[in-house]
Amino acid sequence: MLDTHTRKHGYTEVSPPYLANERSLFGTANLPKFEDDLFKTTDGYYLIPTAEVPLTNMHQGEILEGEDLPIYYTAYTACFRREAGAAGKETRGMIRVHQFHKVELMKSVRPGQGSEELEKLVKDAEVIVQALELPYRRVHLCTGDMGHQPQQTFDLEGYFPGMDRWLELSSCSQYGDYQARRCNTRTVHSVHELGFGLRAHYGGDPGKLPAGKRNCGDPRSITPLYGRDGRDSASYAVAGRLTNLARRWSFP
Amino acid sequence: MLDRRLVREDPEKIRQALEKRGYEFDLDALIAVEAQRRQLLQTVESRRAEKNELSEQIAKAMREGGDAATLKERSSQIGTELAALEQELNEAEQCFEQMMLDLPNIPLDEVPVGESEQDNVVMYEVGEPPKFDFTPRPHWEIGELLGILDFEGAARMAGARFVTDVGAGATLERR
Repeated sequence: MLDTHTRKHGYTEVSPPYLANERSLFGTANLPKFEDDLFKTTDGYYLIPTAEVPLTNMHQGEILEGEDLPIYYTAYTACFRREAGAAGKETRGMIRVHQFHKVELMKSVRPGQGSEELEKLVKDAEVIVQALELPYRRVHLCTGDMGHQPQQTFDLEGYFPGMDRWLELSSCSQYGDYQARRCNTRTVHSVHELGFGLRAHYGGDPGKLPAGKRNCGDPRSITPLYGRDGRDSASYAVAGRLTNLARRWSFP
Repeated sequence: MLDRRLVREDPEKIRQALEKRGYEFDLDALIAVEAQRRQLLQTVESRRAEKNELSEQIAKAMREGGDAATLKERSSQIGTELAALEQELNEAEQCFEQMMLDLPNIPLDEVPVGESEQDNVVMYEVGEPPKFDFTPRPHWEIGELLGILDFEGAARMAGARFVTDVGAGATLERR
């Protein structure tokens, strides 16, 4: 899936540190408000809750030339979350775990290009869900359900038969200059000194496509797969299918 | 973080955004802190100018052999006032910055207004959810039956809310 994004969709792959400093987490607005969601080390580092943190801070404190934009980054990383507020919720399964992997897509674009680039990014994410042959739906999040940082969010939701629920597989958001300002990333040629335009990400991943949306858990695209073909107790039939799937999955 | 100019130039835009989000935030306090900060900044700047002017006068008086004592006393008085004002300005600046960090982003006009996920708008659906003539198992049961998800082992080696992927499970994890 990562290869699809680097070969077909024009993203540059990044393998960042899994620990980040305080400054970076302020940049993405995980701090100061959401410190409870983070694991902190004895050295004062934080384990990244999503690759959004390192990717957004790639150009922290820098001034980018207009011709540098747009920038497309993607990263496949482990993510670590305390899920402190989730006591008693989703205690079974892999929907809301302390550690998981996902693919992050992040774009920095010129002011005014945000909505257009976000639409392309949603399509990049849909390609992956379609390749997994998962039924899904696209949802426009309302103002009350959106995270703190975005101006707009679209979720791709998958149906989980064993749980009889639609859950987020991927979350695609537009941030305007909100995080750029916090990271002190600027452009030279924009109208406003700090007009960085858009910062969108999609949390989704190889086997799992979870999402980067805070406090919403991390349904993984693989989990509906487990149930999709589920032959009840005869689910051993699924064994072969899953194993085969794992071996022969090819992405466009 | 939002553009700080918005706080004094178009606070209504921020107010509407907060209402739409149902986010509790004391915008009036932020506006007051910003007004106070600007007021302090102006005072500090005029006092600095005054002090500079006095310094020039003192230098001139000393060059010309006049009495600079009164001027010096006035200058040191302003210096003390200035230090206190700068401290206040610094505190107002930090208070403002702190509050700005808590302010959420402004939703675009096209975002549906609502309170919870019940109010999200489904734009389109692709494919059909599968139907079964039996009750499908949840993924953790299937994963355990297949021996490719190990929750118990993960709980022993780490704790709750961890999973170990084994065999095909591990392959799926990295695909």
